[in-house]
Amino acid sequence: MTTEVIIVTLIKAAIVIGALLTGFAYLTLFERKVQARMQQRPGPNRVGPWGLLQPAADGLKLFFKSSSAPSGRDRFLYLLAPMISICAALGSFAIIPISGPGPITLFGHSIGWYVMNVNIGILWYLAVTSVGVYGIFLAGYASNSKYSMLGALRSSAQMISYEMALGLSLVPVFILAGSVRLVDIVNAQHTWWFIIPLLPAFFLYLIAGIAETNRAPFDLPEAETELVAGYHTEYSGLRFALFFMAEYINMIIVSSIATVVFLGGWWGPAGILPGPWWFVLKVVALLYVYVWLRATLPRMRYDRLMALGWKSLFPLSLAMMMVTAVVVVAAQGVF
Amino acid sequence: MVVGFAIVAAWEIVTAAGVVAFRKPIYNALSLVANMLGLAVLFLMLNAQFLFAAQVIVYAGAVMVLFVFIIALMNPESDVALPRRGSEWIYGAVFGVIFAALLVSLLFNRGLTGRPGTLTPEAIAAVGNVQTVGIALYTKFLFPVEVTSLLLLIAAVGAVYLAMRRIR
Repeated sequence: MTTEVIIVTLIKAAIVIGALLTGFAYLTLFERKVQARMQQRPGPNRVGPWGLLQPAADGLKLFFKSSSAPSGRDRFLYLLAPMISICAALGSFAIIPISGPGPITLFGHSIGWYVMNVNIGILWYLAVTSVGVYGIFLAGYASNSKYSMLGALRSSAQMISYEMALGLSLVPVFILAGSVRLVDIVNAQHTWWFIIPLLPAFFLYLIAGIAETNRAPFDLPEAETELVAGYHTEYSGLRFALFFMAEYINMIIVSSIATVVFLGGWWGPAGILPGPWWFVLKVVALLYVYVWLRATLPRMRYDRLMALGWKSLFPLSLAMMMVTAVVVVAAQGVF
Repeated sequence: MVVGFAIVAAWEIVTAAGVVAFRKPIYNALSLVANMLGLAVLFLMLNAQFLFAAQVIVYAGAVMVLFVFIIALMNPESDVALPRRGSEWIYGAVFGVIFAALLVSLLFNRGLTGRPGTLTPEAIAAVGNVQTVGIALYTKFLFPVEVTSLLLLIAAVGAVYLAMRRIR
């Protein structure tokens, strides 16, 4: 590993973090606007044209808020928890390729549209998110509050349960693409996007992904009618903002992975738009689905949520994996 | 590379000490998590990317989460009366010396030969890291893998049986 490679990677990481934080800010506005339209009201429209400066105003407000913290907290873990959450959220984007090996050439190096292109590919995402659970659980534990603890328990149990279905729903894709490297997976979808042969796996992934990010209708961890705000009840100001950011960035990441793995990544119909645009369009479409679900579906009951995860999604994704494997082996025997 | 190894090795020793040194159980468990993450980084430095991911997902992400869960819920601090400070040093010293002697004898008798095997970094890179592990597990080591999976299945069935019996 030369110094050049390290410098290029650091610059890419800085760009990706900047893009993700901007994406987070405008995702909040997008969510409020879309939800408002679905409820027959205009949504935020006072700060800047069409409310476009609303995220900046929200950020400033959070920045200047006085921070309060429970006196019985575990000081070290209380500080550590939001950091784990945000690092896990930002770190998992590193493997996502936004476009093919692009036209960018600097100092004789052709630079890929990803932070890293590693052989373990999507396993990196699964590893980083499995560490992200600690952020949420420790936030609940360190706050020394019943609401926080209950929210954290629910959230971590939900994330651990749905991680199984999430990982297994991706296995059919690995079987078809013959690799877990995301660039290889996208290249394998040059003619057919994997959503066409693997439609059930796509839906399994989407449901598990929504549960994994603790979003409606699976937002039990922060069910405000019973738990105030769940694991981040006792966080305020910028520390709360870190959890908020982590949740929205995780939404972007689940959508990006769905795009890369099932929707053909940067491939679009016959070169109408350059690759990165297709990627962004598909991610925005999936984020719209997220907001749409939140605006239209009521929250599930907790025991039903767990039953859905373990008794429906988990066996279905196992079955999907077996069927794909059998079909692929049978097809190899025929051709 | 050597500097990197030194840093990770120091991290491993500090976190391993933390596992036994902290007086609050949750910090012991979290030190173990930190230790396992360091171990994963060591795998990564040895070019074993798949082992890195497996170590993080299985140990740091799944097994230790359950430990932390149990500690946070049971609050063993209030239940377990810790022995008088100092008495554990005797046991620690005795078992520490025995374990160190075992390790040293292993190192000197079997030793690290330094001879490279057939799976050199180049050979692995040609097939792919995940692929190499997969091929090894499902051809050469298929029988042990299946036996292990059966063992885990028995454990899972047993755990469910024990949990259900208590409900009835």
